[in-house]
Amino acid sequence: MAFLEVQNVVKRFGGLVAVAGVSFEIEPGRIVGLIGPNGAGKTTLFNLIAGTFPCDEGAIRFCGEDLTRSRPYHVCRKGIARTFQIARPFHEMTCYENVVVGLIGRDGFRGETEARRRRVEELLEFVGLKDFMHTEARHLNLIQKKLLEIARALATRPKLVLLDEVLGGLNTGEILKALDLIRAIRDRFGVTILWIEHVMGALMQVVERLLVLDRGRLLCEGEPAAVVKDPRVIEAYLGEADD
Amino acid sequence: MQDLLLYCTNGLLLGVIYALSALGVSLIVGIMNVINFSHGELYVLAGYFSALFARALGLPVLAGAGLAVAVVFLFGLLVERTLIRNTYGNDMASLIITFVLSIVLQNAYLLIFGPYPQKPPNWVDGSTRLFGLFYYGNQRLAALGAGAVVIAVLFLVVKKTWFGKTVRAVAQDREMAAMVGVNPDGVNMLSFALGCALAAAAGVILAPIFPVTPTVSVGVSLTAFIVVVLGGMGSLGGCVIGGLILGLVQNLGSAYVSSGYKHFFGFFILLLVLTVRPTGLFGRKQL
Repeated sequence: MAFLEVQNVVKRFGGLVAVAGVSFEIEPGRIVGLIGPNGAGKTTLFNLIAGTFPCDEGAIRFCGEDLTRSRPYHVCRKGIARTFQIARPFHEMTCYENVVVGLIGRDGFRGETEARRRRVEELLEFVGLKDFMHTEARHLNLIQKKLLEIARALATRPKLVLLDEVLGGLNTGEILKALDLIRAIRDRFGVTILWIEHVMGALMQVVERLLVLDRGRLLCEGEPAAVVKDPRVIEAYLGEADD
Repeated sequence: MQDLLLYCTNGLLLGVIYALSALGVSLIVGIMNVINFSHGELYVLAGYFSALFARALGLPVLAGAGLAVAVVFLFGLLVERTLIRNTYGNDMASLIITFVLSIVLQNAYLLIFGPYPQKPPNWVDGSTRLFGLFYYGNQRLAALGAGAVVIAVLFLVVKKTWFGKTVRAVAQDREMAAMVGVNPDGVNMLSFALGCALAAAAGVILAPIFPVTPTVSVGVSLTAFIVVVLGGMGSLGGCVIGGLILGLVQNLGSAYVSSGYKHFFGFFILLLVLTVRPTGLFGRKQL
């Protein structure tokens, strides 16, 4: 039984085929990168896995369960969380409340208040936002919003986290910290990570496997070092070489 | 001086009830983007039920009022599940459905309860001398207090409880809330019913003072919409301020200009807001 199994999924928007039959599997506990030129269908693929919109064809299975037709809240409760390219915290709520919504979303209203409070504090401390616990999310800066989104995603006790360009807009120092955090997410919470990223240098330091999408198809996959040398990948990024 | 204080007290009472009723509309708009045109009918329904429970079943009047609100809450759950849920994403469809529902309910009331005004018994008798200047009905004072308490409880629920936090999350970003596991259908259903229950609360509080007839609902809905626009769509705090402003303006205007213009004042405020500040006092920018 595969951990995450994406089988020949297709998504069309009118005449545009955004995802044209992609299949892959992910083993648990890995950090897997998903790269590809702009418009390759990476974010669409995330949306399909997360249930934001339904696949036109194909199937998605997660831990033995069929999630192909599942709605987003159902997918989340099965253990898949995600973050966005442009962070989307609940702006009018404090960091504490943002994370609490993740806890409630996963576990419902029943549960001990004190235990929940401790859990929220732990998560905010983990991402380094403990001092901003009672600050409204709209007052946070870009990186803090991203961190808050990660804490909220972790609050839903995910087995798999889909990260969409967490490094975009960060400076070098911030990127290094973010890389440590991403490793820590996997090591401390035992979470598998599927990660879209354009900052290749940083991505290569962390991922253990790389998937390459191009024009809605899976171009190749495998060891990161081998994948980036693959002529098909170079061609997809840079255009055809003249020999 | 004595008159002014009396008018202000009246304005305050109506303002609190207007706010209470408008909070129901605002909650549903803010969370579901549905405008509930049958809001006033739910107010009337609760008024009838509270009269019925007290007079026909002989329940204590406050128990009857509480039960009436509970029944309307359940009715709200049913309406959301059967009529509103299929219209998500199509604001016009839900608008038309709730409008049709309001007509159906008005005529049902006419058929079942008849055209004559009905009221539950007063909660309390007698009157109290206020500010040492004039006597004011105890029932009205009780209504003022009850309205304020219900509003306070609502604000506590929305700000402090687990449920309130998920409701606010859904109102702010429905898609994102779903992605952290919040079932948006469940929140919608509860919020719609809660909005209906607020109309019902206003109904049972005011029915002993202003008896209900099948058509008072129209005025109730319109007033609630004016308050929501004045306070700003989706802003609960705005509803309270807007309700108080409308209550005071209507009463002072009726007293010092002419009571014939009572509804004119409401619509004048509405026009003024829409021309000068279309987002309302505390409205969100995008609306």
